[in-house]
Amino acid sequence: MPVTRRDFLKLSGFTTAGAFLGGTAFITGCKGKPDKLSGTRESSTICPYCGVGCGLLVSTRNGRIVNIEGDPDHPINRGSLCSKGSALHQVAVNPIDRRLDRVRYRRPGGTEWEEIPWDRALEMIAERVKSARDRTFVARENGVTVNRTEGIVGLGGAALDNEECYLWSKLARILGITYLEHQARI
Amino acid sequence: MTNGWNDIAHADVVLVMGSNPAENHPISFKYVTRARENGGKLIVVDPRVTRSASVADLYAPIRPGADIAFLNGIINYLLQNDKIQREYVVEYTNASYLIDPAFGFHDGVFSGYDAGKKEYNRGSWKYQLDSKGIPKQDTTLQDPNCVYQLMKRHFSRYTPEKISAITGCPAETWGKVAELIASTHRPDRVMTIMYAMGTTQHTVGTQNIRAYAIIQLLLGNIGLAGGGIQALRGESNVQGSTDAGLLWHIIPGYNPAPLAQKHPNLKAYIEDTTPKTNDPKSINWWSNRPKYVVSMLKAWFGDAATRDNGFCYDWLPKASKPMPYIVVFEDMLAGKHKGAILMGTNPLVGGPNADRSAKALAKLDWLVCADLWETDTSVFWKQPGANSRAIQTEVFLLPMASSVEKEGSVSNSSRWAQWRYKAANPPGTAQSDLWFIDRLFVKLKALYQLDVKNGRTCAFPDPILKANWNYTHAGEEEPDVHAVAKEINGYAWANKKQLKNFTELKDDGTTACGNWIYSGSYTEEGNLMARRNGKDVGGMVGLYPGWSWSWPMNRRIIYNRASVKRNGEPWNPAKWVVKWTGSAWKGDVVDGGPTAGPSAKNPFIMNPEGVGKLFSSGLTDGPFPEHYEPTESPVRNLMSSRALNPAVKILDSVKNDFGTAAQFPYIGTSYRVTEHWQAGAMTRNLPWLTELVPSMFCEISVELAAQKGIQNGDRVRVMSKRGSIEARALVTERVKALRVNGRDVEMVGLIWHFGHGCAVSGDSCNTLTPSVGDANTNIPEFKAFLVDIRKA
Amino acid sequence: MSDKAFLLDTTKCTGCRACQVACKQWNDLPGEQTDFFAGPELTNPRELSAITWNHVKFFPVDRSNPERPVWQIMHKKCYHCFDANCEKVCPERAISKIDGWVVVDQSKCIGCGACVNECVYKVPHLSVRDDKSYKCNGCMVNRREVPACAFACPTGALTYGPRPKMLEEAESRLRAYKGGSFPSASLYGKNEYDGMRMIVILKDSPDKFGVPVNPPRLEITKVEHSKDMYALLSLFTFGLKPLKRSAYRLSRSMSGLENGERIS
Repeated sequence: MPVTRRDFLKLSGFTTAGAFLGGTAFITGCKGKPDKLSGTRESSTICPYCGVGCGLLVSTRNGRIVNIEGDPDHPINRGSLCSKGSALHQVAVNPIDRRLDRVRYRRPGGTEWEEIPWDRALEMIAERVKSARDRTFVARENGVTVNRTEGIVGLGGAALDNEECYLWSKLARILGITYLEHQARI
Repeated sequence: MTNGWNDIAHADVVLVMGSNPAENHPISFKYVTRARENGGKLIVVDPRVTRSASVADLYAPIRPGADIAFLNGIINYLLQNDKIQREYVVEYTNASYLIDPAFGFHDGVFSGYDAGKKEYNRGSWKYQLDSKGIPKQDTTLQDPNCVYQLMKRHFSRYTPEKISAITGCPAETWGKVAELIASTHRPDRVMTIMYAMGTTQHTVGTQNIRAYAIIQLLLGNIGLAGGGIQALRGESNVQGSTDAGLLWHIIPGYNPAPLAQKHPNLKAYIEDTTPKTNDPKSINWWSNRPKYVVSMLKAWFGDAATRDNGFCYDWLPKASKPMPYIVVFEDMLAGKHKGAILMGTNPLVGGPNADRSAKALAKLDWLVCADLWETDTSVFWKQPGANSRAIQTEVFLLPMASSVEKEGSVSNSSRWAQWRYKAANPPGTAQSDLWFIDRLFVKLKALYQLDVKNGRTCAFPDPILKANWNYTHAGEEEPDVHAVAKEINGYAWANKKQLKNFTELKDDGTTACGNWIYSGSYTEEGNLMARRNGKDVGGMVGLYPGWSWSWPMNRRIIYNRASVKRNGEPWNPAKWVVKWTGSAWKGDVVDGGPTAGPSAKNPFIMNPEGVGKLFSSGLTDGPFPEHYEPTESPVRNLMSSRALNPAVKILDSVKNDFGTAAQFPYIGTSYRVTEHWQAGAMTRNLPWLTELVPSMFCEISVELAAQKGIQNGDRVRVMSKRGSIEARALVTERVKALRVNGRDVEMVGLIWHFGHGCAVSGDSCNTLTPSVGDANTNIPEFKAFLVDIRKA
Repeated sequence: MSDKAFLLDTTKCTGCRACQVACKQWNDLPGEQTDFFAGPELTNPRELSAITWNHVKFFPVDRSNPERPVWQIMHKKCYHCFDANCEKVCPERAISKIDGWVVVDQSKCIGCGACVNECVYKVPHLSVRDDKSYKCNGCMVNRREVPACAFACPTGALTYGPRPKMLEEAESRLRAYKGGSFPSASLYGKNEYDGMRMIVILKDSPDKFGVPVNPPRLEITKVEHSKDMYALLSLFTFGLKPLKRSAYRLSRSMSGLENGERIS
């Protein structure tokens, strides 16, 4: 009897982050060969590419992602994906090591990157943001309180999560940034 | 999107125009295909035979930048042939409303134009009011000043001959499109319109969309299953980022960002931005704005925000001029900025006039790029032609987590906020953006605290020191994303209990809510964005109310009140969205509250008049769409003596940056392909995708190629007034010259995914594009500019 | 034996190439180095290879009806012939059927290239990495209920199910297309090589898209001759694969058959 992935996961006692087990599109157990997904944990995600919002299932084994494909239960894509969505695995596990894993720093006039630790980077960035704010802050203009930081630009956000966008919007405004734009304008 | 992706399956006609969803939103074609299987017809209007056009039932070519001529002609066809859903038009639109007799239009210009300022005074674009202050109506649609009659006059100028001469679409083909669209004026036939950047990236982009809205209102297609207007969002969370107000002109929830001149204090802001109506039939939802803004201020400034200090309204920054993307880079180039923080964005590839943008970046003291990859922008200081040693900008490139390495929600094009889980750790020391934003705040707060403690002068520290900001629990490394999501939803300030939805929000400081439109997403019931109940309800039109959560109020089809007649029966009973039982609504979460019935209230709740606006005073460039040529165009305007949209403002700093057809005879237009995504960092680093499309390329016709001695695959040089790039030429029958006003106009189509970073690189198409934008949104005119081409 | 088959309805394909990437994802295949487009149109790579088990071929668009351009876009992979040439010619029985799907067992493959030569569709390819033959195995190796390509397909252009049902569906659709949008539409895979597990609806006749009508059967005498010859020669190969390969190639040329090339 073929064992569906849902059954397999039930039997093996694994649960997923959201306890969302996909449909019956996968058979585990193959003649003598270890099943590609056996012993994996699954979690659901949403495609990071276009705005359709397709669901995907990510399978991990020992913390490493081994498979990403369409979520058969997702009402929009019903398991299907496009070429980009199908390639998401290579974002998570990039075969040509292009993912950034350390902070890079380029000094004024520099010709190459240097590596610096996160702590140092955060300190340097915070100092620069503060100094730019202190030097370019306009508290009042023509008798109106404007509390505006003219010297800092904030760009981007369409690839961030909602919670990140919100916090970025809040932080930027708290700092007085009005030069705040992102991909929706272009 | 007014409707959902699944709902496209219910359309009898699908109009794909200014978009290429088979390539850029491929899963949408699951539902376009389904619509066709059910007998629906797919119309594709596009300059090229795209992959969307490859399955079209009717393909109509169009010159880039000529959409309004095409669409205004359709509006004329509907009016002249009386192919309108008359009952819907009379009840649910302002067709019958009387307009001020002072309103007029002459030779491409509406009344009230100030040529010096390039602005309209919209004083005459208004309704005639009765003694109660309610717009006067003539429901027979006969009054010469009623909107319907004004439309008949305005649009009658768009004859099939004119349309063909302007657009390059044969009149006969255009006629077939018109006929098919018109077939959906019957209540039981519905059309959906799918549009994207091919519609918006023009100096008349907003009016292009207005034309869609007018057509859909005349046909009675808004609010119905299989109807509506679908703005196809190109990024996974560009809906959510816009909702969050990451734009100079809006704060979260589409509340206007305060302006220095107009909004000196909270009272003035509320007065100016809260619409009023005397019409008892109008729900006028925006009358609730004060509750939303005050609750946001409370969420941001907490205990510091009191009624006495206007809930710290003063602490919000106020711009004194528009600061859209193009202005940001012009001001940067002028040396006005010290630094910039880029959160997962790659403007040297994505923004216009890329060489100019690179010069602007070099004027910064520092640049922070938070990204998964080394982007083209982050290495602007070593791109070809850059003099690294002379560029003094410090650059920080921060390694960030990908979508499967962190937890949080994203909102798709149809407003579904969907929760994602963390599957694995990010590589090396990479962190989530949430972590970075939180840490940056914490560091800044410490620096300001130190200044205050030591009595050093610093810029106004209060908003930072007193911000309501506490997301990282004691002993934790990571900020709690659920804490942020709960703040976005909103809670009662006193007991910190999550609110049920935005109807509980108050303007007295007792409620805190980060973004009112998301109120209801994370309640005392829990995180509704993570729901996975796939059951459908009501007319079974693919609403899936138990799957994730949709703003507003988990409503799946907005303007759904318009899907029923005044008596509450659905226009299209076979595919009903909501229905009124006489005392309650069934189906989707109805617009405007569950108690008001369809005869008591008008359906378009976000408009103060409560009806759809065929005539609108809300835009800067006219109450009706009018055809103008792109800023750079090879032909004169056949509709009036005005070449360019009169309300478009070209910045002085770039006024010499435009070419003429004598120098640059071909239309350049930019677009995307399935295999790459936006500025390319997320795809040009993936070998599975670079296998499919490895090079920067442009598409030209066989005829143009022959004329220029170009073979398929040759390296070519494409030039505009702004710069020049190299690309490979794809010589294809899918591109053909269009017959415009009696002569053939050729086109060079360019993908814009490439730049000089990432695993595969190439010249950026946006080196060629101009710094000029739409009269309302300032979205750049990427879709129609002038170029020349030669073999490299 | 499974009765499953793919139904490829190219009238529904929009060329998104999810199938091409999904196959690589599921089967852990690397991307290929390409330059521009191998053509025509957006086709990349030009043909299948040892690391590309399915790809999408884009043919030049036909605009003779300007309001209804015909752009044939065709997913291509192993047709999984019932009477498969590759299976017949393999001297080491490295090619066999699993549940009716034609699968290469690389542990037995000697890289002789016979399958490469005898497949009229140019499906199997020898890998530059290990000199063995690779091709689509119908997701019989990394086994799954619905093969990755069909599972990923957004529009339903590529579906998977019981072959009789798929065939019935294909014939009913073909009738509709012939009477409507595509009067010259054709069906492929019903009878070719005694039937195939890829049933394809094309917008026009197969030969317009490089798919041979009435594909030639194997010259069985030559094949048998070369196999006999190989049986003899292989006595002197001491079980070494390079020698086995040479032996088979020699026996093929002695039997008047061509030898294969290695492509990635």
